[in-house]
Amino acid sequence: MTTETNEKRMTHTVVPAVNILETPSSFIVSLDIPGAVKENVNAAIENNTLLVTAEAADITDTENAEPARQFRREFSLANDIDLQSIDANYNDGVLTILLTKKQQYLPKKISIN
Amino acid sequence: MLVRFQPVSNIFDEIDTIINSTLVPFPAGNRSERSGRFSSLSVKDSGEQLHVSLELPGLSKQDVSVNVNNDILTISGERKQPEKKENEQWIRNEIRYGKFERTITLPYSVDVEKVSASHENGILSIILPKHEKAKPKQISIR
Repeated sequence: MTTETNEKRMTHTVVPAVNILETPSSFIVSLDIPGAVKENVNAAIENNTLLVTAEAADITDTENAEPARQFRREFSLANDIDLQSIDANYNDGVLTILLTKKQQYLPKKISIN
Repeated sequence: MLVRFQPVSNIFDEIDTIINSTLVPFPAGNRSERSGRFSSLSVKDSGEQLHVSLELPGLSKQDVSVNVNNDILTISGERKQPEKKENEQWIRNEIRYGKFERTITLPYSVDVEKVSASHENGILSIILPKHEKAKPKQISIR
């Protein structure tokens, strides 16, 4: 007997694991987003919120090209981030976003005359 | 009165979402630690070959090794922790680093010479064709 499965494909949302490293001049945000292609990874800033979304194929179904997994994570940004200089890079399944601190929040060395 | 039981597990996801949606450091011990404890692994058997996929984000080809021995597939490697300078600090650290090893007992003998592996966008993909001797043979009756 053969049973036909006619399951509706379900897209499920994954909250990617994140590392955030603060350096004196920036925040480096790294997110694990395995299995996506660069074109399907998005990072956007709106109203002081950094939104990361991505679509990836389900690794259990490699033949089906339809994205079956959605990655999504939001971060509230503090006022110290310069929204004009944000850099993102996707490599080996990891999205790395560089958020630079605003000039006035950078540590300053004051020279003594 | 009978009330339908409502699973409460989702509340934790809700809380995680709230906690995770901020860059502000949070006390240790939050539940998001569970993410990344194990990499997702899938094994698909088409009858003619096995397709093994493992999520390995943040590793390059050089960091992963794949071995087949006595019908046992071993995937091992190391995800190296990025270097942190003295004047830098972790605000959030959910990604697991270090050595790992996964072993899978294969359901049949595979042709070791024809095993191929690729690593792309953080997914390791291994194709293991079934060995001729493991394929069913039709025996003609004379």
